[in-house]
Amino acid sequence: MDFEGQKLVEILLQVIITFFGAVGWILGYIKQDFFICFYAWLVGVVLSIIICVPDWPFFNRNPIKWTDSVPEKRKKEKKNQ
Amino acid sequence: MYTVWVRLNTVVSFGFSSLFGFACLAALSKVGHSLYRQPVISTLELNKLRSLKSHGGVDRALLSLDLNADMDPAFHWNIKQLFVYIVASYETEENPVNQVVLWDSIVENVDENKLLQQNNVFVKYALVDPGDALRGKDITLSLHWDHMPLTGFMFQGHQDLQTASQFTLPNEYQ
Repeated sequence: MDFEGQKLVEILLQVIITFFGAVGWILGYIKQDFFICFYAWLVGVVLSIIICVPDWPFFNRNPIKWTDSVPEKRKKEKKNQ
Repeated sequence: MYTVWVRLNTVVSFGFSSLFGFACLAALSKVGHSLYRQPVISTLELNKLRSLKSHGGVDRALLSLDLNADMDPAFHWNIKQLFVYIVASYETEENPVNQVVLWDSIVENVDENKLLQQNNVFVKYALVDPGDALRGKDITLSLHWDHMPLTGFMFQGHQDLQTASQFTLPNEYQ
C-alpha cells in the first residue's frame, strides 16, 4: 500500500467509526437504549475492517517512485553514452 | 499502516477507544437523572407478624410484607439493573441506629415489567437483633436501591423516610 493510500486509510477508518458511533449515540439517547449505540459502533468497526484493512487497488494509485538500482543506473548511463 | 496487521490493529484500537468515549458521554448525559425522576413507592408495609421469639440467644421476628413500588423512573440508558432491598430500622438503648435487610430483588433494564408487586410476601431474611432488644420496639420499613450503571460508579437511592411506614413489635414473645 503506497503512502497516499495509507493516509487515506487512516482518515477513512476514523471517519467511518466516529460517524457510525455518533449516529448510534444520538439514536440511542433518543430511545434511551445504549445497545443501539453499541450495534451502530460495531457496524462501523466491521465496515472499517472491510474497507481499510485489505490491500485494495484504490489504495495503490500513487505508487512510490523508487530510484533505479545501481547496476540499472550504470546500464542506463552506458546506453546514453 | 504498511501491513495488514498494522491496519487491523489501528482499526480495532481506535474502535475500542471511541467506544469508551461514547460510553463515557452516555454516562455524563444522565448525571442529574435521579434529581427529577424517582421510583414511585405506593405501598411498603407490614402485612402480618408471624412470630417474635428468642432464637439461639438472639431475638428473631418473622413477618410478611406488602410491597408495591414502580422502579421504572429510576432507569435510563446507562442503568444496567437496580438492586432493590427493604430495610427495617429501629432504635435500641445500646445503638441509636439498627438496620436489617428483610428482602431484596434485582430489577434489570431488560425486564419489561419494572413494577415490584409483592402481596403478603414472607421476608427472605429474618428480622434478627444481635441481642434481646426487639420487644416493644418501633420498626420503620423503607425501600432502598443500588443503581448499577453500564459505565460509572454504583450509587444508592432510597425512599423518602417521611413516607415510610412503621409498626411496633409486641412487648412479649409470641
